[in-house]
Amino acid sequence: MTSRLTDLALHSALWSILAVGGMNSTLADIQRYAVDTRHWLTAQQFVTFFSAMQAAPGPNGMAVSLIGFQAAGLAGALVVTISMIVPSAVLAYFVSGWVERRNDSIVVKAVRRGLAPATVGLLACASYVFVREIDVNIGRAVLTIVTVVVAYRTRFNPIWLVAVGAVLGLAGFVK
Amino acid sequence: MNAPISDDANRRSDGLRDDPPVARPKPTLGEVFGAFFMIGLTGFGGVLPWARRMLVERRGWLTDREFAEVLPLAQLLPGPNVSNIATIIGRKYHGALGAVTGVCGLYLAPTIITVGVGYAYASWGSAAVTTHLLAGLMPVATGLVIATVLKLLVSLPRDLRNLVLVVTMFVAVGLLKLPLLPVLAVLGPFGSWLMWRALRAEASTTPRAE
Repeated sequence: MTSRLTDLALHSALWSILAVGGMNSTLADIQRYAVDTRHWLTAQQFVTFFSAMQAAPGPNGMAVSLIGFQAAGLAGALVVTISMIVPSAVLAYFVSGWVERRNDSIVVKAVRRGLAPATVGLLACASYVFVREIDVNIGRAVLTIVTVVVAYRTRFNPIWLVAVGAVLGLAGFVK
Repeated sequence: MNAPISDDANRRSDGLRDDPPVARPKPTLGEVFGAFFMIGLTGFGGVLPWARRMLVERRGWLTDREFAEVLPLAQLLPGPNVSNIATIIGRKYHGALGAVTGVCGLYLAPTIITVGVGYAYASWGSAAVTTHLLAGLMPVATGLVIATVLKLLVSLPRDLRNLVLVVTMFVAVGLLKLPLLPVLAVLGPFGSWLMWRALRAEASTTPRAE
């Protein structure tokens, strides 16, 4: 159990540092490690957790805490949460002032522009994980496409789409 | 720091900020905790809009412009963006203690909720009502991530460099399932180097504006 907690802690810390552009960038890597390598949860549970946490408030990374809960109970959830927060917070604490003073320097600009396509590629991987792992039927496909269009074309808070999805699911329109 | 708060503040109809502000009061540690606790608790559907609402509109700690400057910094640094905002804002007012307070405030409610969800899933994970609910949530979650990819994709400059970096990342991590650490350790610096070369070339061909 202790070794599993250590494993969770080290990997959460790693994902926190590798999360360029936000925690969702690491989703595919979390899937690879937590599901494929460690079998802490099934592929179905993985997409379930990330989907369920869309309906809860708080930063995106909380789905990783839920994986920690699944792997090692309450201790797992707490270890993951703390390990996920501390490294990036420490980095932000010490580096933010330095970066802010050099915001217009060519190096900071280059890093910003170099990481932007990396973030896009990683979020595409995250989408791919969802598309790969979810069983497709007509209702789900339509709801996904409608969500893409509405979220892309409008500025509604996504929680309204989540609420619509929850109602459609509970009512049995999307199975 | 005695610049006018912002045009927005003066334009508001609630009458609270019509007087020209002299100096914005420094929030106490308790106020930093309270503000980020509320951001964590109310942050449905992505926390950043709620962070803006709280820090700019409700508390008046940042102007719109200041928030717009903090945001790309928080996004550039790794980790959850809003967590970086809590660190930066907390540090600005109360140093290390402020940063810790802001981050703890932000995560308190979401952590309790997540543990609650964990216990709920352990008890009712296979119940019919949960299956129905998740069947509706999964397509929405998928659609939201795809929409984010599209939005970011169209915001990238349309050139070969960006295309190659996006596709390489997708193939390496998505299709080949290579571990993220070595991939990012190569592609991050490589991408930055490509952009650095482009920026230098730009700077040498266009006359300086100064």
